Amino acid sequence: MKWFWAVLFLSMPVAAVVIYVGSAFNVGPLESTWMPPAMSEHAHQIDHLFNVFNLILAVVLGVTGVILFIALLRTDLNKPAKFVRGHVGLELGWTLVPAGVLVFLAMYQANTWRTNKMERPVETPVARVIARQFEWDFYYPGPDGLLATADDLYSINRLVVPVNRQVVLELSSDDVIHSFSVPKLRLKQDIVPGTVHRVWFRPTQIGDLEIVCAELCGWGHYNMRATLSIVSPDEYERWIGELRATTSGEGQ
Amino acid sequence: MNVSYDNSIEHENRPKGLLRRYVFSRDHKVIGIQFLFSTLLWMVLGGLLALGIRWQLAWPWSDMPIVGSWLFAEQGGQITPEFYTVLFTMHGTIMIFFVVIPILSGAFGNYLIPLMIGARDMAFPTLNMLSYWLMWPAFALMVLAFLAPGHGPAAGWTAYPPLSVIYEAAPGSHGAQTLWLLSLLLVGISSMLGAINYITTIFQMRAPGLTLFRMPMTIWTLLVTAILQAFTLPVLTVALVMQLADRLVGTSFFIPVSIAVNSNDYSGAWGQPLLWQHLFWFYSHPAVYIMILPAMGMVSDIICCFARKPLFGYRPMVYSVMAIAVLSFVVWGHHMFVSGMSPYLGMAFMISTTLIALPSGVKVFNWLATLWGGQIHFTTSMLFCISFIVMFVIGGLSGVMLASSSVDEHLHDTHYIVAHFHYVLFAGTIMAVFGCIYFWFPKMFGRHMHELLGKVHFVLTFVSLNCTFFPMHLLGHSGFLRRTADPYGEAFAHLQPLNQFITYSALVMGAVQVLFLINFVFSLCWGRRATENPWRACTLEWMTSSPPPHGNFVAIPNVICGPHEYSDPECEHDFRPQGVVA
Repeated sequence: MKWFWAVLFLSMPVAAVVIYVGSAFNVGPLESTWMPPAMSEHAHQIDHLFNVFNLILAVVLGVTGVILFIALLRTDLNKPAKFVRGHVGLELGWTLVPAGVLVFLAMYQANTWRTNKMERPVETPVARVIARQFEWDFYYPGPDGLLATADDLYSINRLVVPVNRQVVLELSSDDVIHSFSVPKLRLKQDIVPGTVHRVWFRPTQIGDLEIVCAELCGWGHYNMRATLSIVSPDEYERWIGELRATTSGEGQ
Repeated sequence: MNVSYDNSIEHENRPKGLLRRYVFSRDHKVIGIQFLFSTLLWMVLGGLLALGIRWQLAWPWSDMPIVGSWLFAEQGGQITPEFYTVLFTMHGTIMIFFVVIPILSGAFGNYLIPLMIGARDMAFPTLNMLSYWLMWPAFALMVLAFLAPGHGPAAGWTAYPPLSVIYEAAPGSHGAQTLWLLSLLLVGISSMLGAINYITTIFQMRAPGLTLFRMPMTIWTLLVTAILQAFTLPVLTVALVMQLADRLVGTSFFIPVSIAVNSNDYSGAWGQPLLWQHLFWFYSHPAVYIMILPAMGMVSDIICCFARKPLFGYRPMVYSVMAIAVLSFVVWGHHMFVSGMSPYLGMAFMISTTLIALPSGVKVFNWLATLWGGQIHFTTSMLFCISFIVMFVIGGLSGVMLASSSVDEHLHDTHYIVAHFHYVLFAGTIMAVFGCIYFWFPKMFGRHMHELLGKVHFVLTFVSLNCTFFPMHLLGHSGFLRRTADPYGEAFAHLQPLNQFITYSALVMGAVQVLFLINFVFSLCWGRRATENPWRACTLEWMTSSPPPHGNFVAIPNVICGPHEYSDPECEHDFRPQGVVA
């Protein structure tokens, strides 16, 4: 019977590693279950961290799984258990080595957080994002070139930004907490009403991305979606022109 | 530390009358069993709510078979988006506040503390009774919340304002949210009474010879848990009262300046919604350890017994529990990496959270070393405990991933989080709780649970829970959000088959628990009779009859050694009971 239990307990860590490898390499039914395509520099950095972490975690999972497997197989009901209370060397080893690994992990990722969150860009915001139950309103500077003035241009549920340029957005909420989340940019920022938040990213590919609200904001939370279109600079100018033609200074 | 009051008098004072003996009892054993039964009942309800969530995620907006037609008659058998928010709010609330916390501290804490330290009862038996009976008004208020206008609170178990505070923000933010707050207020007071009682009892009433470093790990973890509760619950209580005041008496602690909800103007307010999040997580992150530490302690004691070995590194295990407790006070901000809190704070919380993995890791290695070279008896209880270790490794490792503020920006509020905390709380704590029930059932009720049925229950639960929760990691890093009634859209449509697989697994997992209930009920009535010490365990609770008499021990034992003296070659048997009766 001990074989059965040992294999059962080993099966889970093994399955976990196999499923993760399958997902990472898009095998069969696990296709498109890895991270969605990365479409900004920030997203590539986060994916790199995710991959490095997964490698380390898989090793830990595998090693503990195999140790348990061997421990269960070695047991013998006819032999008395070893009477040991501990081992100073082992304790030191499995305290210091994991401590080293954890300190490494903390230091390895610190720079990504610093560059992406702590160093605010100098560029002026491309647009204002105003969230409310349950829609996304996007405001662009009007003819005066300034945001949050009477001649702002606005667009509902569609945000257009140029590719390969630092895009800064200013986020605020009219009612409850929402969260501006774009999975393909690995970007997520809660929007606390009463506070103005800034996010920034540099998109690297052209395409239409889904913006979702990631913080529960009421019954219609699931339906609070918008499209983020990343377009070429020419296309971007054309879009702004079209906005100017259709909205005539009705913004906030 | 010695027991100072006259034990024999207490022993003869067994209360007369059914009501005083079994209902309004001051006996810690009865109270523990009352907690056990109530929490198991709530687990059934909480589990059914989870199946409702899974139904919606697998087949959004389709008629629920059998129960749909009478539950949602107005909508033609469908779950509405309003009700979906109620489902996950109530599932989380019930499982955390009515199941996991009270089953560990309330049921096992009450039952085991006096028995394991060789005391006749708790320090404050009346307070103990009160802590259980305060749960009932809390239960009633939570049930009433379902019936209140809006049919249940709908702001999530985290109840972030302004959604939870402003009436117009959500249908459930009317009376239901007030009842929810009042209910949790009572749960908090109940836990506080318990915590004070446990700390006093453990410090004051240990049997002669039971030094702190001879205490079983169960007692150590329950002590540390009680201290955590005593220090964090006041903060939660304050936060709940502040939210109540915002809702009822017109304060604006959490209502921000100039917002308009459903065209209702709140321009007079001057509060800060993030304050709630800080206060809430200052309690609720330590609460995560309140929900796992006692399980870790009980697992430590049980695997020693069934591996017939002393716990490897007893002192490092105690110190790591203390380290977890201390660090748990400075990691709450990892719930708020994307909340708009200063990114400088985010960096600090990233580092502290990464480091809390260290003491948890030390515990895992010591468990593995305890099993190594042991004479392992694969009882049902032992199987659940070993699976706790395996599952806790998975839950702990995904925790290291989530500690990374940068990666968390992508994973936050996705199903990766759901996978992570279910690996810790269900695959971890609840599996350990099953192990503990199989282990202490003979002591509690004088009968054994059925071993073969127990093993079938274990294998099926182990397989189905992994099929249910592991794929949620994949959903999560695909960006699939939690708390959304219909998350598919174009971006996630390809994830629906995986969600259906999860729901099938969850249905199997739910059905399998019927085996446990059958085993539990039948064993209560017809199980094999248990002797005083059927597992040949060392700790004190096995030195009295099963079930123990009122007053626990005929004579209080003198403690002569540590709690895990198994297979000592100098000992005649393969275990040395912790106490001797003079």
